Amino acid sequence: MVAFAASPSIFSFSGGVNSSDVEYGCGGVCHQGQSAAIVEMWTPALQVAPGAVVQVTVNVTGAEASESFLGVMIVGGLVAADSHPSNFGWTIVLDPSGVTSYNYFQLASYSGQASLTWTLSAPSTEGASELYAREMHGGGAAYATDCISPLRFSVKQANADFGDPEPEPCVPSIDVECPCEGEPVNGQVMIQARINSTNQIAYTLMVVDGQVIDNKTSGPYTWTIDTTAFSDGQHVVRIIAVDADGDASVAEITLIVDNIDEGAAMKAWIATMVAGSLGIVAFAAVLILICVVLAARNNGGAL
Amino acid sequence: MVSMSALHSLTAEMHTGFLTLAFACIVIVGLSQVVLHYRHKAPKRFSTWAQNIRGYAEAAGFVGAVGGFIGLILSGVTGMYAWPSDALFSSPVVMNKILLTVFGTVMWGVVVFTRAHFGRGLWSSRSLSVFYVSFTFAAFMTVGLAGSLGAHLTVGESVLDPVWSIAGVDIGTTLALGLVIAIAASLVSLGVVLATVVYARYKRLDTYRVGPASCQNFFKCSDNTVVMNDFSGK
Repeated sequence: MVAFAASPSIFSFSGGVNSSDVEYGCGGVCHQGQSAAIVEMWTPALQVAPGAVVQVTVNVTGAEASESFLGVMIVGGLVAADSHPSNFGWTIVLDPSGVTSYNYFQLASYSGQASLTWTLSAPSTEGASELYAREMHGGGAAYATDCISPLRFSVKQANADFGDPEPEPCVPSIDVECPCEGEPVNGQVMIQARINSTNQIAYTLMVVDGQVIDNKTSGPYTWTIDTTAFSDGQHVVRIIAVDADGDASVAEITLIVDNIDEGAAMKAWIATMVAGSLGIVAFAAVLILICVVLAARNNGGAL
Repeated sequence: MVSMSALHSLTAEMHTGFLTLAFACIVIVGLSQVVLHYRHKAPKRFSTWAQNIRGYAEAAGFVGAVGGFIGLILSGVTGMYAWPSDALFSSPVVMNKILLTVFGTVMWGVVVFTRAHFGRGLWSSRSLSVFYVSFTFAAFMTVGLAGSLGAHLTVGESVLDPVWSIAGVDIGTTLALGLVIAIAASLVSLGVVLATVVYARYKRLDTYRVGPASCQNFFKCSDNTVVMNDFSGK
């Protein structure tokens, strides 16, 4: 477990402050502009046991800071003071760098899409707890935007009784209609999901191997991916749906990418064998012809 | 019942032995020819040795080349049955080995054809003998490189690894060309072969014979007579 520095100080982010512990906001007039970026959060389960390890992924798409650095923070509340997750009982085990444990991570070069994952330890006491994300533009751009759907955790033991039982959240249901689990795919493949929810779907994410490929805020929930961009073998595709209440569901399928056309490869191999053999024969034939011509000339043969 | 693996090992050792013999003998004959070419500048003992050695080595080289060529074909057949076809075509190293073995077999076929077509008389032509020795060397090296890939399959390394490294060839990647390029290369090569044959027929070079009528006379240094067809068209 990584210990935290107490009372993280507040920084101004307009020029970037590097990865560090920060509080929500910037404490001044900077970052008052609303960024066009979409900030989304995702976690595998919203009900966690006290002290359990939780992974929180923040996906940022779009924004004005392309090709510059970009800051993303996770906080426990949207107030400028005491918003650090540690003030809400959370302990950051690892930040997206995989080395340090800050709540603010600064990406050196942002290319229009970023997926950042924090590993945290849940509060040790039972109860409700929330985590928010904010994107802060670096590079002097005074924009910021918050995740519109924070993660609302329920920290409790699996069999904990809080008195009146809480109603089961109406999480969205996701049915991946195609392709099937474990299906070999190649070339362009369409992933089609049916998502049902009593609440309005806020957004959906299509994630391959932990990387967000696309997001949608409305149906139809179909995505076409180019499998040639991935290596041959198994890849995990997750469809994540988050409704307006922040309740999330995840559907996962494993696809086997197989872009090597064995028939074509075999034809090319046989054709190469024939080409090489004919090439050798042609090369030898030309050389023998030249040798015979030279021999005939040297010995007085009339050509 | 003898397994195909055992037969493959047998034929592989057979062609290796025959080809090594052929390579050594043909190189020895080539060196002997060089010694005899400079016989007036060297002690007579050397030319006597060279003359005696090449008499045996030349025939042994031809026999070795024929035996090795047959052994290569047998190795290919037994190898195809010794390995499961799935294993054969799932590894780029195996596919590259088969490619090089086929190329080596074709090259040894050219060596055998050259010697069979021109007979011992080919040594009377400097250009033909240089071609014969050079092609034998290239064929031997090609089969050696195929054997290097075989060593990779069995023990994971080969003493010829530096050769691959210098050549910048990744043996784990298929050496196959693209289908279109391979077909185009095949057509061009086929055209060259046909053009060569047509030209040789037109010029009546296909009936051209170098060397003396008698093998017994050929390797006598005093007899440098070259018997030729009459190309004057009479």
